[in-house]
Amino acid sequence: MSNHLDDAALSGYLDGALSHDAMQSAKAHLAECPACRERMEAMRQMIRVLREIPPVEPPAELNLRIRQAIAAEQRLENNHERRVGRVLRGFMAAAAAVVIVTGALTLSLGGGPAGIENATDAAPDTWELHYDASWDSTPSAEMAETESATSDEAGEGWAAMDDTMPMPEEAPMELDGALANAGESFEDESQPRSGGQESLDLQKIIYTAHCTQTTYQFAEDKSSILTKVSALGGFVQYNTTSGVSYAEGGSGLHGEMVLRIPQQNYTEMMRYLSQIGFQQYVEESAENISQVYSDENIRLQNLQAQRDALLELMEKAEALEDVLLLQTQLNEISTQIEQSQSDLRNMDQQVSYATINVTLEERQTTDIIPVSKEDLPLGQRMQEALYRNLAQLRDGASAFLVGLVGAAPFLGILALIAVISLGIILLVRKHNKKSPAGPPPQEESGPSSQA
Amino acid sequence: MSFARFKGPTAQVGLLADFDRLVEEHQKRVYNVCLRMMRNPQDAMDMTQETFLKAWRAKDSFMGQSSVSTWLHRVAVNACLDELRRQKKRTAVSMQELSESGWEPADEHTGDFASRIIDQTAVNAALDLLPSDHRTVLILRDMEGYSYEELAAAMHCPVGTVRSRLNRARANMMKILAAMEQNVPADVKISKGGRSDEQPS
Ligand SMILES: [Zn+2]
Repeated sequence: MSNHLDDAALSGYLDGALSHDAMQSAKAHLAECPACRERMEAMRQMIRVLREIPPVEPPAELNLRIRQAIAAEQRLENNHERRVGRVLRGFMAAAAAVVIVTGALTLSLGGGPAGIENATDAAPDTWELHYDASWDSTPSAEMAETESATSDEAGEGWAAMDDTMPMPEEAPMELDGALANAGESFEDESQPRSGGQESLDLQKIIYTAHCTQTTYQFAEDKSSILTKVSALGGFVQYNTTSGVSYAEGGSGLHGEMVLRIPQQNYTEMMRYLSQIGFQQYVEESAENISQVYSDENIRLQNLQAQRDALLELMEKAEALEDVLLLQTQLNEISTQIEQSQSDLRNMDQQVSYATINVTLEERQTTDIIPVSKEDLPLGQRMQEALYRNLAQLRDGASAFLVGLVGAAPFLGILALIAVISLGIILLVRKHNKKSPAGPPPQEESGPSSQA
Repeated sequence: MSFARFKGPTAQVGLLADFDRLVEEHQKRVYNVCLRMMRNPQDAMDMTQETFLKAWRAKDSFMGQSSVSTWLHRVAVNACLDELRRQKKRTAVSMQELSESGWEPADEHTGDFASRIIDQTAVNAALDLLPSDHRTVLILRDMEGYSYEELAAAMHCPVGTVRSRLNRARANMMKILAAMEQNVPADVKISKGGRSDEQPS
């Protein structure tokens, strides 16, 4: 009698998994060895028992647990976006109040680019404008003077809040090459302003402006605007000039420009433009897209989470049809992710660069005569004095407004607290309302699942 | 996450109702697969829940398909295998070593014992005493009817290894059953390590 079969060989024999020779010799041995036959029968019995072990009834709580898990998952899917969105939006809205006010304060109190103002202040010594004394076309030199006064007020207002902020009027007063130095004095000022910029970054605000300037020195002013744009880190998106200069017997030059200015320098650019020739028209808008932006951001995060989940499933999917289905879903999600990212980039770009549409028109040069102030006729000097007084009146009003705005951050903080509390209350209420919603359907069907 | 995000709330309600039916229909089978694999009701419930969660997340890709049952079974087995691997990593005792060391039967054959003792109770008890790798291969092959190729795919090893591990597992089952009949603590006998069982036979 040959060697007995071991259990492993018996197992292989039962599955027909031995090599042909091994199968033959095992079969031969089993035919003549009752002991091995008996062991084979025992193993066969064991396998049969294994196969026939009847399924047990799952614990009654199983169905409840599954339903609760699915309900939780579904709540997560349905509410995650909305809930996060609501809390975030509430917070953003409150923060927006604080930030906008702080930003406005910083920008308005940071006040005048002293360099520019002083530069134009210096201008009357070398030349003066004779203008058709229409009330709505204040000469830029006058504007500059009154701006300085505003800065004084603003400087005090800021000092009360933060004395590390240098006074705008401390900027160098003696500037000859006004434009050349303007950039420098800008940079000096931009440092303390960075705090305001950071808070502005939380907000997504698209600044857009339209303005129309008339000027006696079209070419110089246009090129100085373009110089200023690059000095402020901006770029010219569109630039065209048409018409024939008055000097050449034409009916005046006409220029259109679309300037893109880094948001933090937007105010400075607008201030600069207001001092170019005569500002005939100005329209500014600030569109707050924070909510749209954060919604889109959350949407993007959701899409990415969906993609991750799909990729995870993809790893585990084994059937070709599953893989194909997942692939289709993945493609769709990827397209949406790309669109969303592109939208966000677009918004970012619009936010980081303000858009300023400038129309520059040439004025007839016949009425510009360089003079010194002392040479002005009495009537002219009286008129100037009147302008100055009117300007002071206006500054008084500005100072009052500045004070009002100064108090706003505290109102903003109060609003913030209120909104956060409201958010928490809503969340808790929502949670309480939702939690018991899981069990009821189970209670109806639970018993039936046991049957 | 949500695949139903772009559908209306009505579609979601309908889907949830459909999914409830799917759970009702398949939970028993899924639970039993998990129970056999995990050997205790608590882990089995965890894995069943995990299986249906995965199904919910992937519902759009398989709802209404005829292969749902197969799909769920595979997801359940994979979830259990993952969990068993995790548990194995967690345990201080190296199950790897235990299961890979294997052991040779003391004798060529385990002796005579009446096949009547090979009943459900005995087999279930013997299963609990098997090293987890052996138990898994035995359950998947002899209870769940996996082919050698399916076993190899599920357990991430070559068919030859699967075959030898299965033969080894069955042999050990017989040994444990014999030991149980003789009222000898089975672990005393089987803990005597031997050569590797990983050579394809
Ligand atoms: Zn024999």
